[in-house]
Amino acid sequence: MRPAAAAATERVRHAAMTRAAAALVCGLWAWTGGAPLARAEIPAGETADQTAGGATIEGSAELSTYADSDNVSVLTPTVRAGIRDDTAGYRLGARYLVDVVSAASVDIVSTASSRWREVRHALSVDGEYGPGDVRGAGSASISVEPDYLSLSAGVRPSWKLDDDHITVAVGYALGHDTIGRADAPFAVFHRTLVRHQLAAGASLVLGPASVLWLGTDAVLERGDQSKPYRYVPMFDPAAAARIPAGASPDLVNALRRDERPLEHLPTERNRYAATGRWLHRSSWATLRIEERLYSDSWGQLATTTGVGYAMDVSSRTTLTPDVRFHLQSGTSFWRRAPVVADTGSGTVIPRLRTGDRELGPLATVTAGLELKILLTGSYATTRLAMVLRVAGLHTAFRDALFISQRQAVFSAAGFEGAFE
Amino acid sequence: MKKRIVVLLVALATASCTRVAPYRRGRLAHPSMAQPSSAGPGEQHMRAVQEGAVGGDLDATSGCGCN
Repeated sequence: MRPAAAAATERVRHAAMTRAAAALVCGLWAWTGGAPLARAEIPAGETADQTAGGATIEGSAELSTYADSDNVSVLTPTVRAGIRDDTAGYRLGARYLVDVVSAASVDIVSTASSRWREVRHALSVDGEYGPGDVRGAGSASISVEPDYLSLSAGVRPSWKLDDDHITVAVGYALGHDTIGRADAPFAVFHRTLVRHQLAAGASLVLGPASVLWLGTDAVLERGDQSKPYRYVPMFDPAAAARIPAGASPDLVNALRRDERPLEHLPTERNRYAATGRWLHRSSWATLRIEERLYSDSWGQLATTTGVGYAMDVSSRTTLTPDVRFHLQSGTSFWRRAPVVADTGSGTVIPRLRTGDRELGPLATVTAGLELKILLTGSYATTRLAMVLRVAGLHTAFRDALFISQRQAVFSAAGFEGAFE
Repeated sequence: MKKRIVVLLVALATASCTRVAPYRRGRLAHPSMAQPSSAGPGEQHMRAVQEGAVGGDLDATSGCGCN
């Protein structure tokens, strides 16, 4: 390569690196979507064909599937489109998602209900602006099901400090959910759930190849989020002692009392979480370690640990194995077999009661593998990539009725494109 | 408690004392270093409805396949 051409290429590479470095700290705070299909370093044998700058149109489509041993399956197509200009400092995007859920899980069958199918539509928009050290981000979303309407909106400003070595961000989002029944319009029956979400955190550049992200968030939920379809079996004290974890529907129906009241949860829930995420880039791979600690006012505690290792197996192919461990305790009012007390004046059932096994103690192990293939040169003006992901999940329910474990498979296939 | 918070803030402030010149930030700028989450929207929603301690995000609405 001639010296002048080499110098020009180096200038373009330097500009791209600087631009991407500025996007890095803000990308950590992106509300939705994955990493931008950014121009990376120029691979050997490729040359820059344009100078840096200008808007980039981005689009992606993904189809994910979920199926588990409890007869639940979910099909989720997602499309996303957006425009970004890192030089001008803005990004706008929109995402549309459909969930098609089909379920005949054991707790549904145990109540003599048949398989049901439900469709959820979710639309969200998000954007960021900030050509300087201060950046503002916002998002809004709506999710619609026959018996559930969810609206939310939020803002998240951030500040770059110390020559981009530290980025501090705070955020607030408000959610408003309307919970109904499929057999009745909201005007006849509905409950309201309001969520306030507060977040604060900072990303720290620890060195030329390491970034640490520390964050904390609180979610304040107000409203009755009890499931209007969920009936909770009740037991005499003697029968409750004979109910083992994972008891079959036949055994439960043989030992339970006639009373089967609807679920009733506290109408206030405060959730708190702290997250740490460390990323380290070697010459050919990125190690990612993440830990999340959780506590809430319902007495539930949890820890979630994730490790991923993204390996560049070629200049256009990245392979990422990952594992994730989630362990949680039950809420303070969780009872595998709720007990009814007969008093002289009548029958007393527990005021707080649930059959939601996700509120009980459980542990989930997830092992996944993601393959990302760049279909075009990473420095082309039109860049395309294909992403494939598959993950296996094993969940152990340590204190639930009907089920003691669940195996599941999640898969996703998607295409990403960026056009300048 | 206040002492712990002060210690934490000091640790955070000094954690990034390593100076990294812009021309040495190539690895930091790699796309794999910028991912906010390794999970896509479908997987995030699955976790939100299946793990009580993960929910709470504003994406965590219904559609859980439970009763």
